[in-house]
Amino acid sequence: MDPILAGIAAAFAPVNIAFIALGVSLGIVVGAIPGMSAPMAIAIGVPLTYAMNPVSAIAFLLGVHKGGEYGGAITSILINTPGEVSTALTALDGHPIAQQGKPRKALMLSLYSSVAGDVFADIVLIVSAAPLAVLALRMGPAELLGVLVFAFAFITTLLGRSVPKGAIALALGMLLATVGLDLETGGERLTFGLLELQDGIPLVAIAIGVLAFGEVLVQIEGYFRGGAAEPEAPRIALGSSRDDRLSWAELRGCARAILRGSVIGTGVGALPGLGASVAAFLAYGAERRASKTPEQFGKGKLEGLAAIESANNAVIGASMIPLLTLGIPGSATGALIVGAFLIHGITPGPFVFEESAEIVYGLFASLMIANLLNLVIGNVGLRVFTMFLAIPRRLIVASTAVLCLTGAYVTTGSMFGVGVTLVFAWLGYFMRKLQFPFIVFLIGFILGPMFERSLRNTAVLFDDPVTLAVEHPLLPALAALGIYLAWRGNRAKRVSDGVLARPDSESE
Amino acid sequence: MRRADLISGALFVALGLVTILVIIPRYVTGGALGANLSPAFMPYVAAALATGAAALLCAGAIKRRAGADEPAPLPKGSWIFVATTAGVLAATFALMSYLGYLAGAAAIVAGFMGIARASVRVVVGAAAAFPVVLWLLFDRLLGFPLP
Repeated sequence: MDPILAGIAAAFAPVNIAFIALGVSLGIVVGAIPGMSAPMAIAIGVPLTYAMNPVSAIAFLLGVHKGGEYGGAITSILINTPGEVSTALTALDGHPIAQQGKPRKALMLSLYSSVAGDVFADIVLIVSAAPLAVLALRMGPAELLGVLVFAFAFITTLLGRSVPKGAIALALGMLLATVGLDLETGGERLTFGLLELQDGIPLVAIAIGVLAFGEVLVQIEGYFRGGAAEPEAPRIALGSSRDDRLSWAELRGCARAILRGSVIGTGVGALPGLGASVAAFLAYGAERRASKTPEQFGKGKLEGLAAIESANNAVIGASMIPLLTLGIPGSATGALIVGAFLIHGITPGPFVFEESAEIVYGLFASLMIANLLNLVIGNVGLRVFTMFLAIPRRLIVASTAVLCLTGAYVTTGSMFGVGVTLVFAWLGYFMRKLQFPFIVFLIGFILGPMFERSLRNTAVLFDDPVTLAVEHPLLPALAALGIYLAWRGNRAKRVSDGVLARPDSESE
Repeated sequence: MRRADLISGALFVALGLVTILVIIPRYVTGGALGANLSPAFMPYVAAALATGAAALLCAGAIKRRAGADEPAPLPKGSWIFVATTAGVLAATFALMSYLGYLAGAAAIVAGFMGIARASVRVVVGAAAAFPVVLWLLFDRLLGFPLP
């Protein structure tokens, strides 16, 4: 059977649809719990995918992500307690609309804008991924090395407040990725004689530790030091008055904002490292500049909410473009999805379109199913999902800790995985406290082996660096561009920190 | 943050140098049998990058104005929390290894709820109920054997 048709048939299998529905529901529930975020939900959800086929597994996680973004909007709009930076912007206009007695209107606009952004980005992904993969296939190891150096520089500069801290996080991830048997020579690397380390440090156990358990430790500390009282959630009731319903005219009025947000979100999402918060900021700024009444933004402007939500969600589909075509994840969720691909024996990158075409097209169809289910479940289950706001946060945090350890055990089948998760939870805790970008660490860990392979292959093909630079100019060009961006980014961050503002350093 | 950057930068410089000078030569084995690059090449690259970046972090922290500092990211209270929580996690790991999943899971729920200053009734209820629910879900329903 044609791989496209076979993929679509696999996507429409009842069990696949059921897993996507489960993922979307789980994502909305977790996203709607204050203090929880979509990456945490995905980290905890990865071990559950062991019981699924590859298409269902990835579709389930993307369902969690899509649902999680909408779930985050529920907390932001109703109780003004966002779990992430991107959903913090949702609260800017969403919460004032709810305070005006129109919470359902805000939530429905958020849902429709989110789904519209999702659909737009998924269409761009479907249309562009295969041609880009063909282009990527023409690249040799030298070009891939150049792309990776550029991606490292870009990600290190953009994620986190300091370039040296980003570089340390990246290098640490790359160093730990070398642990285990060297596939080329069979030599042992940094295993310290431990048999469990011969296959390397398990990615999912690390991701659960750094992403989810590290956040649990930070939140528990807030209670320990008495600084995080259980929030008194103002109960904004979902009304059924006509004024609280989103009319067609209002939705039509937001169409331009949704389109603008979707385009910005898709563009930003396709670049590794920028993420949903940057997309939301840019979309909000663009919408405000385009508006005839910019002074109403921040006071409950429907267009502001629509732009942010569509941009937030458009990033999800667009971030799959570099992931599927080059194997480069640009965010925490992207890193986890790469982990899920690897668990199921699929290596993301240009070859995936040749080797696992059925799975890729199944995934594309599943993305569209997830959008539809997000719309239906988000609409029908709204009243149920708002009930999760009332669960005490202490209970959620402690329960998440057990879920993390359970997931780590399930992933590795031994207490070794639990130990790895606990060790990396502390790494995640200290990285958060000292403002080291833990996402860069994860990306370094995932891309480290690919970087080493490209480096080795390039070294085999070219002894002379001059010949290499002449025959493959893309490598030095991309590397130079990456280093230039890192330098500019570092300078911009130093300016923002006030270093260059000193009179004695103006000449720098 | 300036002091924290200085300390963490110095720590990473020291760790990087130990990795380059001691750990990699001792714990990376296997020659370059038909290989163009030694298995130690990549660990050296990563360790050197970390060490260089850590030195830059230190230099940046030294250069920064001392007056314009932020509050300490890890005040004294944090270290008490770290010690307490490390104890809870060590106990959880030991209980899970030797007595099984339910004992370890109950310990971490009770420990974390206790650290989070929840009432005794809630701590006991959560520690008794939640591990059982998860055990039923993973071990019985999904068929993933738990310790």
